[in-house]
Amino acid sequence: MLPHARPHPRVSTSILIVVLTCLTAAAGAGAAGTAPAGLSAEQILDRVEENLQGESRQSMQTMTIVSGTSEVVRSLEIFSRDDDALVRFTEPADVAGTALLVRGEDMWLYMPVVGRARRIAGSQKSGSFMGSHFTYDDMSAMGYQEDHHAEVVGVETLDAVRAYKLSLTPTGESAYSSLLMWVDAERFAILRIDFFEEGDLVKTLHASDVRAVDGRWVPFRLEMVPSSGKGKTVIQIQQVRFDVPVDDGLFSVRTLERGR
Amino acid sequence: MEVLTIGSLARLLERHPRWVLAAVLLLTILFGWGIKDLRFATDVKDFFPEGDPELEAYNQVAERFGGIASIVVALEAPDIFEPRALRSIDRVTARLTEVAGVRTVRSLTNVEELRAHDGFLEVAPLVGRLPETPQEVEALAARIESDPLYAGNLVSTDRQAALILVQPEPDADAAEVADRIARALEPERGLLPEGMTAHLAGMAVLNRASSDAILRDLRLLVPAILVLIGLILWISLGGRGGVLLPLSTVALSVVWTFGLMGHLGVPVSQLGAVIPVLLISVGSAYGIHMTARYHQEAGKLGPGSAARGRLLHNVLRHVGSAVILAGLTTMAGFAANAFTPIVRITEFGLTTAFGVGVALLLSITWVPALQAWIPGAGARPGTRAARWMDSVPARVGAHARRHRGVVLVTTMTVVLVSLAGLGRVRTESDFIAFFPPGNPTRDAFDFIAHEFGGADTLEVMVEGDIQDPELLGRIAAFQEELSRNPLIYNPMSVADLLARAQRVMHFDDPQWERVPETRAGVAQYLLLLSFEGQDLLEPVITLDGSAARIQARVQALDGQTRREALAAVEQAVRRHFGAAPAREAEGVRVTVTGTPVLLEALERMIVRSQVVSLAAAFVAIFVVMFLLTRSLVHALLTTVPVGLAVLVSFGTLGWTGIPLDIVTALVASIAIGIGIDYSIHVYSRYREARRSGQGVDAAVQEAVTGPGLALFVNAAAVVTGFMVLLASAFRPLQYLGVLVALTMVTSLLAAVTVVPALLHVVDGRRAAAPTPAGMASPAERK
Repeated sequence: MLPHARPHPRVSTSILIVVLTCLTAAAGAGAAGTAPAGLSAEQILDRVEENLQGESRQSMQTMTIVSGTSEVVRSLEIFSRDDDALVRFTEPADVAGTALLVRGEDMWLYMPVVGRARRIAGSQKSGSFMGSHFTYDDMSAMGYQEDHHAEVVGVETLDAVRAYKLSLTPTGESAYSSLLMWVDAERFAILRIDFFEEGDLVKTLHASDVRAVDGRWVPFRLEMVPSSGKGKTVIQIQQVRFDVPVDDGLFSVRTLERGR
Repeated sequence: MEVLTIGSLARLLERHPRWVLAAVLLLTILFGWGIKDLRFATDVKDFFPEGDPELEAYNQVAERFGGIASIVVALEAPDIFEPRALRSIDRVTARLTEVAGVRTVRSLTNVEELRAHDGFLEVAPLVGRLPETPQEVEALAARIESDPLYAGNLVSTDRQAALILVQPEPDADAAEVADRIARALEPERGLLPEGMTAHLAGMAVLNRASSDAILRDLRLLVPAILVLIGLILWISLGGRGGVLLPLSTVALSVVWTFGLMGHLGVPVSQLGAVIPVLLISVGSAYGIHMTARYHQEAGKLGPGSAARGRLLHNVLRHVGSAVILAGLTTMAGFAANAFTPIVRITEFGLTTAFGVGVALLLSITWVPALQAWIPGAGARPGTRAARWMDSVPARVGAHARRHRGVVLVTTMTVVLVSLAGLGRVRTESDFIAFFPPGNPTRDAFDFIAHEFGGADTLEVMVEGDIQDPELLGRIAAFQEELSRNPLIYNPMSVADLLARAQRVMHFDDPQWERVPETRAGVAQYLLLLSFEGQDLLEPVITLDGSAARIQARVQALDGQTRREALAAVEQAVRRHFGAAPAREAEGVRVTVTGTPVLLEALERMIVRSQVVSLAAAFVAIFVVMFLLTRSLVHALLTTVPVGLAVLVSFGTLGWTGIPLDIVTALVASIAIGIGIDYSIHVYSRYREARRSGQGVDAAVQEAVTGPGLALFVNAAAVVTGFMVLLASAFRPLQYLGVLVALTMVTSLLAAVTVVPALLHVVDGRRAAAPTPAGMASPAERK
């Protein structure tokens, strides 16, 4: 990517990660037995992130954005492997076929009406993800461990589930001043995150409908609600598979332009 | 009945003055407690009744599109593209972004655009890096000035002004945000380079400036008017009692009235400062009558009289009914405003009617109770000044009798000249015109109007299937027509963004800068534009694509151009979207709103309000006068002075160019409500004289000579009180002061010249006839 007039922090790969990876935990860990007592924040986050880097994944999901009296629902199909990802819109029909290809730092957009892929620049970390209440930053949860100072501040019961409550303070540049995170003490899936800006709660992520998929615990429903109470974004996973064999040609501009 | 009541009131006052005083003080505390809850309402929206379609339309658009930017900062510089100027814009933008309650800040230095950059498609700041060298400056200027999306929008075409648009959070108090913006801007002003200045405008800013001005007016005008009226009382009635008794009644009535407003949640608007002026100048008259008569009666009875009960009874019976009648007509005149469609004028009418009622009540309870409690707290009439004042109306009346022809010709001339001026009356609803040039807020609005058309935007909402390329095409054509109108500046819509997106996706080929031709194309470009969040799309299209907004600035330098611009917009709406029924049939709804539209609607309401309140006031006064005179002819001729006064005030509006606005629209009802008092006094004396068996000639003379002092002091108090408004921060309030003063002089002059002349003409023919029985009011028939 060429240098830009004003440098922006970019997270080109995060688009894919969005979706699910971030809030997935290894199902095996929790399934092993009773909750380990006295885990440190690092250990908890380790467990959360342990199996995030799957070989590959494929998912179908809907993203519902509500703003004021207005609502829009879009369905996406996502393939990812390492730093590569292909996001394809499947619904509504008008946008079906529109797709994004991410390869490491590079990104291409394909729109059926244009008929050609165009390279696009990445986004600002704190920018909204596709007009939703998620930011790209929220999506790239990979960095919770390395970008934050974390400590366990308690154990609480959240919807009848025992959960570790962690306080996270960014160590580097971040849109948030701090986070509060609740992690399922048995299954190590993230259940809820409160996002703070300058000490004020700005939005809350609720993760629910945790299901076991290919040995991992995956929340199938992610709901981001701004503290203003106005609008929200709901990501609902229809289907997710891990470690599916992926053709090398999938993450190519040619595949992108072929519309699969 | 009335005598009975007055009798028992007199007994109560005589036996238990302390109870009455205590009750008044207690009520004062109860009412006064509400003052702490008083709030301001100065927004043009605050003048519309709840449920008004224009107001609903505005709120609907604001709600669907996340608010309407109501705060505008304009930076003025010799060349806005000069690096130091750009840095200043950048710094101020950043500073304003941090202000609490601010939702978005848009300026040249932070606005983002979709563009193709070195083969990449990106959404990035329009101005990436601030230029340093003259070459970079020229390159940037050329880029922006050649792009219709930005030229003349955030930077004026003459390069001397840049806009920073601030949109408060929808649930934040915009005036408070404006206040914080003003404070945040203060330190920045000092950092601006030589020759660069900052202007702060927009509806929220105007509201804040208006509230400040009202507060300043109240603090300055109320003490000033109390002192001046006190002075008049001292000169005319003399003595501590003569000054303090009437003044205390009006001060209490002001406290009760504002307290009641606080309790009821009635806000203080731009009309707010008129309330105390009105109550003090009008209300003091009632106290004057009571005090003067008390002294007269006390003089008759002599000191240490045992008949003090009779004294109070006499005062209340003789003056009471006249004072009550004068008060009731005044209340009726003000209350006539209750029928207007403008909420704040309705409230003004009712609260001032209440205040006058309070002054009236206090003058027949509080004043006599104080007099009973503190013997000798009366006036000291008979000063030289008082005698002179007493004689003025009589001398004017005498002159008039000698020169009836002159009176007639003068009156007819005044009527004709005023009628000729009627057609020239213009209306004004823009509250920024309340401030004189030289006021910083006014100058900021004028500057922005000059450079960009206006600080506040015109909003056109199109509801329907916006993703339908046919409808989008019509939106684009509509917008294109608007942009060709010299009175309309920089219309913007989602069509611009879609066209730009399509061009960018096609290697920046300008040929592609047009609305996509297929539904899928529209949907996909919208999706592309949403990738970076809703910032680009939210102001122009709803998330679900069911409504689009076209924004523009319209020339708002004066009402006439605004009207022309809005008419052109309506025409363009019809041309591109069809007539309303046809549109509805197609599932398309078009709503035109925004501050300019509200101002226009308010202007129409002002005219309607004026007609309604004028008619209601005349009817009310005529009914009261008919009840008093029991004669249609007498009721008619006693109403002539206020009719003349109203005519003169409209003639003055027409010939001086003073606009009819929400404030000057009050002149008519004030003139009628107060002006009628002079007729009442003159007529009452006339009737008294006739009842005592005098002929028409003698009675007419007595009618003017008798109440001389009361007439003069009453008029002097009202004129002086309203002239204090000349010190108001609002120009319409200054005009109101002069106009009310003018109508008072007119109705007083007419009452002592025209009314006697008319009585002479009407009753002269039957001069020998006995007094008609109907001329006595029920109160007189014992």
